[in-house]
Amino acid sequence: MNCDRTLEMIAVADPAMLEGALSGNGELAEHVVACPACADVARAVLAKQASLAEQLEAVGPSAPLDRALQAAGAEAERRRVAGRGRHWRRLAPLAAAATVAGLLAIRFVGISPDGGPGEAFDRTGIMANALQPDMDVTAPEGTNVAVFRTPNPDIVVYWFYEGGEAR
Amino acid sequence: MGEPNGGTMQTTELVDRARTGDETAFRRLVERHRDHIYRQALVQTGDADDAEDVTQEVLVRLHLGLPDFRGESKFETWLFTLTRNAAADFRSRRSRPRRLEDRMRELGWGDDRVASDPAGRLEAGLIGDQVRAFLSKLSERQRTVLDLVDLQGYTAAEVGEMLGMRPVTVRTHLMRARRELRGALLKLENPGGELQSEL
Repeated sequence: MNCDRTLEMIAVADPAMLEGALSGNGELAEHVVACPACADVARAVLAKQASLAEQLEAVGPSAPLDRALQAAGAEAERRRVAGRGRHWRRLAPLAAAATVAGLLAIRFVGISPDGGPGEAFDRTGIMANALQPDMDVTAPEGTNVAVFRTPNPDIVVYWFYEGGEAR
Repeated sequence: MGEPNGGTMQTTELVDRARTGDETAFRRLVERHRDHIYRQALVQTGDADDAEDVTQEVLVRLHLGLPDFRGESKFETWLFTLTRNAAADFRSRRSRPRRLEDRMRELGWGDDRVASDPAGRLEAGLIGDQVRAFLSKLSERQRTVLDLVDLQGYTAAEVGEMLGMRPVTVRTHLMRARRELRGALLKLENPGGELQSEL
């Protein structure tokens, strides 16, 4: 192996391989041990790389720890609050849609074909039981109430109305 | 609250405590890892000031994300990914203004204070010549791979997993990085000399 080939290998060799070469082990050793110039390059590469490692070990942020922690905590809290706001803003259209759907459901389930409250009528074809006799609901003074059972047994619609108009 | 075990608490225990809101544990955890976060940020951004900003951003994300850390990976690996993502986000936020700066320079409106050398803003004396060469001569990927393999001792397979690369790709970046860096480091020692020109 000549110097060119050795230097080519030194340029890309694992540090452990360079160390081995300098102590007489491995593929590079034969030439490096016999060639002081190549040995110098191998030693310089190892020394420089060790120095780089030391320098990188020594780097650190300049901001004092307490200040950094305080600032990070405050910023994290600000983002949490902003995130909650964004969360509600994302949910707002969903809530609006659910409200509209609810109103439509009441309308479709509760209005009879002649347009007034009374016997429950489900336009989807599912009849609800209107004016449930087992319900005890007191309407505010001056109003009436209609009670409708929906297809979902957990959902009952109470419809307060006056003068034939839904409230 | 004082730290139990005379300050020798394992990282996993600190993480568990910090996740449940123990501020002392959180502080200890940051104290233990902040320099390493900064080092990784410096390697990835190539700029000391940017590394400060990324480090601070990682602390914020640590605050926000730690309660969700489930320990499915090592904390250090999770932190590496957190820092890597923060550095990537930082770079993408910075890329637009930097392109604008480049354009302004082309038009003759340039500000000489804007350094084209990525390590240009490193203050002399604070960071040594070797680090300066490392930051200015290698690409971000080369720096990351070389730092992890040659300086921190991870294997190419481990680095591949951390960076989402095949080990053979890691080795390719590593070879290029070594060649570039070693040439630059030897040039520092022997400017104009013959040896480094061989590398």
